[in-house]
Amino acid sequence: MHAGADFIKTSTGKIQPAATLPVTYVMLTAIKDYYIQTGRMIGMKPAGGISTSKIALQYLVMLNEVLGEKWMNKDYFRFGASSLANDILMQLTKAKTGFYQSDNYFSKD
Amino acid sequence: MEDTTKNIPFMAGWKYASAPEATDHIQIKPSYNLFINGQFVAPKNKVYFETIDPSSEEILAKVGMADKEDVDLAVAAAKNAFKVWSKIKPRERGKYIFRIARLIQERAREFAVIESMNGGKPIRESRDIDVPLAANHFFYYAGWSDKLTYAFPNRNPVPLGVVGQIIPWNFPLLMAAWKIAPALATGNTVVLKPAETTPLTALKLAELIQESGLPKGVVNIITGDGSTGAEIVHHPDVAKIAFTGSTAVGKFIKKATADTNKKLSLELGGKGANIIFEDAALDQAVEGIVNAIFFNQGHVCCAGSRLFVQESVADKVIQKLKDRMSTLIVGNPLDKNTDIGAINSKKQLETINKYIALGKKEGARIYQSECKLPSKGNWCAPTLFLDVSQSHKIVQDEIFGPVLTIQTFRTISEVIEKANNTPYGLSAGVWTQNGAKIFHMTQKLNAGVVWANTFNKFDAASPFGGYKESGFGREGGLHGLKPYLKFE
Repeated sequence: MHAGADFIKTSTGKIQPAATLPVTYVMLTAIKDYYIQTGRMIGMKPAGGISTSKIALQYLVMLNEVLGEKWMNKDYFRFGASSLANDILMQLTKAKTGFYQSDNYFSKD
Repeated sequence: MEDTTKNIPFMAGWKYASAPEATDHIQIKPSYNLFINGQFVAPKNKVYFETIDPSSEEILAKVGMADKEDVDLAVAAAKNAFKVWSKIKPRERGKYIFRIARLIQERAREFAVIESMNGGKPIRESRDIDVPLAANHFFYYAGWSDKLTYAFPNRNPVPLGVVGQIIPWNFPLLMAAWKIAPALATGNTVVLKPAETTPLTALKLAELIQESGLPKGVVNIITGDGSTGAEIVHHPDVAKIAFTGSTAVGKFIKKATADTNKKLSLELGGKGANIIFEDAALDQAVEGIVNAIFFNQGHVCCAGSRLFVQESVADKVIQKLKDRMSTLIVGNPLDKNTDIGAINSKKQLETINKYIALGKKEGARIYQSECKLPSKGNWCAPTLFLDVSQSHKIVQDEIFGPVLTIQTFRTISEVIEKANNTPYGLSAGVWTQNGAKIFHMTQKLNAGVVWANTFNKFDAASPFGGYKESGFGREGGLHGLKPYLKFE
């Protein structure tokens, strides 16, 4: 951040374990400290291991409580998790139809 | 999108939907009698008083008001039961205590909900702390029952007889467990009086004890007010008094038992120092500050109610603390999201408000987090007082609410002097990454418990108790057996 980064993120997500809640918490508090020091808002991107909507919600609650409303948007917080998108689609379908679909109905890229 | 305003609070954007714990599985009778000699019996004078939910002021039940006659009956029952209980094989005693522990575990949810309803504490705390720790105490002391001669080798420990136990309203079930478990393990019989405002979990415990098949009269639980407690204290057949509560009442008990042969243990008030050094992990320390003072609405005798922050990091810590306070949720104790519940009684709320007014009058700078308080019930917003010194009344007196005073310091010797400069000596906390500093501080601080890089952690195996006006005698651990034994 001191070298000019706009976003910080955990590892690529290709190596396990990648993003965890404690690690993300530490990074969010670092963003908070840096903001208090400089007034500059830095974004955060946890990646890897965030595969379900439920886990994503836990991250969002943490973001909500540590950094608050100003960070709760796409400019300052992103998930790096390709499998998460499918789970969200699955949950949306479930909300609409009342049934869970097999994951064969969701494309894996 | 750059915002150059510094120190704006990191306001949470989301409001959480309420997540109340269900109450439909709870059975509270419209009225409760006194538990004497294994039976629920009506108080002799037929007087009952109401017990309420402090968050809604709703009446939960009526409970019996025990007077002298009832106390006589309870003590007589305990005295009679002592003949059997003190002679029973220690291993068998242990089995009974194990059974009580298991029954508490089985009914943990019920106890947690009633504890929150009657006392106002958040369900998160009663569910995760109060009830599991209560079971933990029974399990722990069950194990000591048949090992007393190993605990005190070559000293022949024998029980005292009937012990009178008077407990407070801040941890009603947990305090009952802290008192009853070691008394039973050592072979004593018990007359216990729960606090006036929070009798329900103790009465539920009485039902559980009845169900457990514990011999009649070994545990008697009688409800009432201060006058009931005084009758227990004055009763000639009571061999020991164990009291947890205010220093004022503790002094009364000490005077009342001065010319008797009664053994006494007191766990009284506190004004714990929570000390943050500049080399501490500050974010963790802020969590620690919140836990130290806002746990159970600050109704904790060992609360870290005096905060000392090293001057070099004071601004930073205070700002972080204010930010963290903005996320605390005050409200319905039965909501799983709630961090801070209801103040236990109108009377206690008046005391807290009196101190808040006094703090302002004394010239201290007040900060309260912006949180919506429900219109009905007893509530107090989390409060900080800055610009205070040792001479402020709010720094000297135990407030027993969510009110924290903040002072800064420069050197270790300065903070030790200030931390010890109080009539109390129950708890303290030290936050630093330097191990040597921790050991130095624990030796110098006059407090029964010193936590390092944590606060308000309890375990049945760890002794707890005070120095100076915070009382004497220890509860928990091997030390907790001693106040219930004499050595022949």
